[in-house]
Amino acid sequence: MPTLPDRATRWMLALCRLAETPRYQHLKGWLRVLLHDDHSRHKQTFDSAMIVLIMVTIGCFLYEVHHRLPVWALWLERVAVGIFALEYLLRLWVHDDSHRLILRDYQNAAASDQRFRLLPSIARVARSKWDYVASPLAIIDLLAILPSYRPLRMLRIFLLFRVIKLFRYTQSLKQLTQVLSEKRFEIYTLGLFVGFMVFASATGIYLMEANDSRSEINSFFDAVYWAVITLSTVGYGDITPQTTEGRFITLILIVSGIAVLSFSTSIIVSAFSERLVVMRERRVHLEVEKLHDMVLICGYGRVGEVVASRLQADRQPLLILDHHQSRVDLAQRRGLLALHADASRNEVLEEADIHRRAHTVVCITDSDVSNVFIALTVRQLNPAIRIIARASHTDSIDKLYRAGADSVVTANEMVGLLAAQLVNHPLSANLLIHALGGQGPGMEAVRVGENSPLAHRPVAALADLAPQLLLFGVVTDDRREAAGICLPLRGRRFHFHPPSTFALRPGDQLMLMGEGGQLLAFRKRVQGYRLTR
Amino acid sequence: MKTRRVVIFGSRELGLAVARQLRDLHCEFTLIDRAEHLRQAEIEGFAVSSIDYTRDSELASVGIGYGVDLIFCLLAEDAQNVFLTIAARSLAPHTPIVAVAHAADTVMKLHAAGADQVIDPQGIVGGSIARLIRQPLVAEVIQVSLFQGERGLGFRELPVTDGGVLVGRRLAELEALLATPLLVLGVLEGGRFHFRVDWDEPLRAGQVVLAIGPGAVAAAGDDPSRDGA
Repeated sequence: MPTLPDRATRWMLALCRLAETPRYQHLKGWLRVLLHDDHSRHKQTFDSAMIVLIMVTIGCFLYEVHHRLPVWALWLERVAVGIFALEYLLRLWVHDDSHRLILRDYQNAAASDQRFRLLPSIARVARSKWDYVASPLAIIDLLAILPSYRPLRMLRIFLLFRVIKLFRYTQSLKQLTQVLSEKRFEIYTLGLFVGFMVFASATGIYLMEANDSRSEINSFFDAVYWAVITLSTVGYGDITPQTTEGRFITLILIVSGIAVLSFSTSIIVSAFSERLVVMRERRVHLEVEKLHDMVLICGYGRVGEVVASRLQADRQPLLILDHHQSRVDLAQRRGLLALHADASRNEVLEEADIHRRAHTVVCITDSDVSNVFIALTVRQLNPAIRIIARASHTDSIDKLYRAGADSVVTANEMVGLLAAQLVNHPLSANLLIHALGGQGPGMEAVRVGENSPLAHRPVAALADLAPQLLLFGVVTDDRREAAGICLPLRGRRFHFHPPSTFALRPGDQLMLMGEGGQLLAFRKRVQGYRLTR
Repeated sequence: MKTRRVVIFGSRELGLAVARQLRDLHCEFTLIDRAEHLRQAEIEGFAVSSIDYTRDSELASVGIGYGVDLIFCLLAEDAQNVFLTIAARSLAPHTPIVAVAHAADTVMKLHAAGADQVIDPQGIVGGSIARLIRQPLVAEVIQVSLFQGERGLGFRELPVTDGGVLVGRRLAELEALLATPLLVLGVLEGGRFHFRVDWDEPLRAGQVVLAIGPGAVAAAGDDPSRDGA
């Protein structure tokens, strides 16, 4: 018959195996995300709810100082404490995987043909849990629950811990503590100096003033209180030195207090200025994580500025990467999301899944070499992404295509075309400049849908529907024969200015020219037809 | 017909690209730069000249103010182009000057210096890239229609002159009147382009009809209106 320890071991192992089930793991994983993952929206909601709860309970405590709490407020306090306690236990639970510790010990014992001993394993689990219980945040959590125990009025001082508990849920406060912890050596030095000054001056003033009948310093605590108030340059004036020696000590302490304040201010300011870039980049990363279908612009030079401003006007989500801090600052001042980073590095693109969140990457740094490298890096990370690159030199066009670019744009070709235009047709050059730059009369592609009023009708029908628009041409998927000029277009055909008898079919794309508002109105009108038919 | 004489200042990538286009149009032109920058132009067989553009006498020696019909200022630095534009304008008050601006701020400066046309390559490239993102099909159509040389499309200017065939005609009947299949875009009048003006209004002398048609930029004199369409 199995002994009690054997039965306990069997039960414990059964429980541990139960903890290996997918449902248990899923629940624990979800709770870990809820409690620890700063990027999770669930955690952000949870943190906000906890902040509200803490503020409400603090409000109840403050109200209770001079009033009697209503019954509902007492129940609210109980529910809040219950939630705090539950949160504490859940954090303790997800801190580690205790069952795996026990199972590992059991498997090790079985492998070495030794008897499994439960108690040492449980001791190891307890030590692991103790690590959490003894952590500063867990202590704060525990102490924040205590003020609810009303018979112990003394414990009301622990209400302060409920305020401190807010640190757990507020990113800004967390960053403040991080900033200060980075300067712990300076703060430690400052603390030592302040401690020495307070002790020395309190001792001095106590020795000089305690026996003077006019003095308000009657105990060493009074002396310490006076020293702290004077060193901090607050100076309430409730205790003032009466002897010459005491006044001399006061003078020294006031000068030291100014030095202490200056030193502590400089520590905090320098810590924040060092941290500011990191904090700003973190904010950008958080913004990026909310974006989908964005355009990634690598390089915020002159071309980048033009591209970004046009896309910004269209409310197209975009992210700018540039390795010049001044350009990143400029983009951020213009309200754009920008990061100081080298876009050719894999880890930069992999961070926050940038290469997956973007549908198009634009390589427009000042250097063709960088553009080729970025195009290659992006193509390797995401074969499906669209890459548009700028070539400063004609020789680089082929290299950019080889690196994986889908489209390459070069200024020289366009300026050459403009020059030819300017020589023979200078009057129309302006229109071409605007057309190439994406300005002037707009051109829109409007698709002929299955239910469109233009489907299976001749081009002439367009004149009735939109007389103010000009049909530049029609893009078709098939090899439709028609009189006029037909240009090949990557598997499709572009029929320039087709004759009025040209029959439109579903799937055709009309290239329409006109003013922006008219094009928009026509698109809406066509969609309206589709809805009503 | 007299061939237009063109001078191109700057023989780097941009200058060479312009020179290649002008060669295809059989234009008479000279590339001007420092000797060390002219090597590639010489290899490609272009007419070259090395002068100090800061000296008026040397500018005059290449025909600025005396027979040059069009000046391109395509030097690498904006400051150089502004200086050259001012110098060329003082020597040739009536010669069209086309200058390139590498920074957005320079566009205004070049206009103030006397340039008739300022090209902002970076702005054009930026606009093209933005269109590639926003309207990929439209960008592709523009690419295949305007950048295919003789196989593509080009702009046409049809001047309406006193006693010409176009005076009194309506835009609506113009396309049928012309021998080549042209798409009439609108009318240029007083330096302004009017997109798709009233089709039934008769054309007046002094107006210029702007159209797009087959083939690259046609040489002056190829206008269908002059063919007696």
